[in-house]
Amino acid sequence: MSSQDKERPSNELLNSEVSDQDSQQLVAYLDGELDDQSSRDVERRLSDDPEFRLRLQQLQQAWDLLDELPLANRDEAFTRSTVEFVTLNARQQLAETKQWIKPGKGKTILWRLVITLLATGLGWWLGDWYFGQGHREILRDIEVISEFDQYRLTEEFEFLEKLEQSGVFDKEGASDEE
Amino acid sequence: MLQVRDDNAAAFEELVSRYQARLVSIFENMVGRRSMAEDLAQEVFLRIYRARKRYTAGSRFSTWLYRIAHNVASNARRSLARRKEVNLVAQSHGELSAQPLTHMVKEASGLMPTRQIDQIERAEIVRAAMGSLNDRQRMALLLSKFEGMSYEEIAQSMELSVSAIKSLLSRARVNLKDILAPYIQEGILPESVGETLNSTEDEEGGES
Repeated sequence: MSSQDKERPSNELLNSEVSDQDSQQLVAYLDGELDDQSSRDVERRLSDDPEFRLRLQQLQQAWDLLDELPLANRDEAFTRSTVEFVTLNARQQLAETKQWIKPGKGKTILWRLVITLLATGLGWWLGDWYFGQGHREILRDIEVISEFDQYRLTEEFEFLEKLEQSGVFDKEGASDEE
Repeated sequence: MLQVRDDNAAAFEELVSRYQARLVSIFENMVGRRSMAEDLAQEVFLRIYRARKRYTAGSRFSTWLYRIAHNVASNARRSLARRKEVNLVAQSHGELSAQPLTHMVKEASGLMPTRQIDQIERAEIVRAAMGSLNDRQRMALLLSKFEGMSYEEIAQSMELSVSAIKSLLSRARVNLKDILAPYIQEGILPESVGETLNSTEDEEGGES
């Protein structure tokens, strides 16, 4: 493959991009969507470039042909039938809403909700009471458990009680905090 | 619309009356059938009525209306595609569907002035050309042509960026130009219309 063949696809791509940009500019110009400066640029090019001018004409001709598309006329009967259709739908929706929230049904839903909440609360309390006993005992003895190694070194419990009464632990606690 | 929001029934009727023809026209050119276009327009008005309390005074009504219309049209096209009824616009529709172009032209030649025959042919050709665009291109083009909407308004209605609309409209108009160029320059029918005519002629030949 020659180098010219390799360059051809990239040139074609570049040309098509330029063409796309030109088309966008022309369409935006026809639609009055360009700012003053861009409009002047397009107009300058239109006066210099016959091909560019031809594209503009073709775009405009195709656009003008859209006037041939069918357009509906205002129709009183259709307006009435549309309003009736919407009214009927609105009534149905209202009836469905009322059905859903009518007093008897609302009360039943409320009772079910209350019973569900009570059952859930009771279940939680019973579960906590039954399964939480072991945990509560551990929590109660946690202070002793955490110091258990030191208590084991002391053979007389009464001696520790006397030390506590004399305030030794309070002083140690205060010095630790400092 | 603000009066509709406040449950004024007469205002709603006025709104339907004012916008129905425009909506039906857009839908007819989107889905290709007048009866379906009317159903879709009614669906849009129903959605507007249901959503009336959410309408805010700051937003432009037509932009809101066509946003709903665009969603309804997209859903309709999707369900049509599921039912394998695609490319409806490329086919004849409404009153024209019962009478293929050649038949109409033949019939009309004895009854109508040449100018009217040309008009029917042109309408059919433009419809076929529109049918070859994709949904977004067609919607953007219709809003631009028949509603005179700016790129900004079309972007809001179709929930796209302004630059996307610029590119969409450019591609749509270039496609349209390319399809219609043989007809504009030399009076040659575009391929899709030509095929429709040929198949109709074949059928008629077979029947006779």
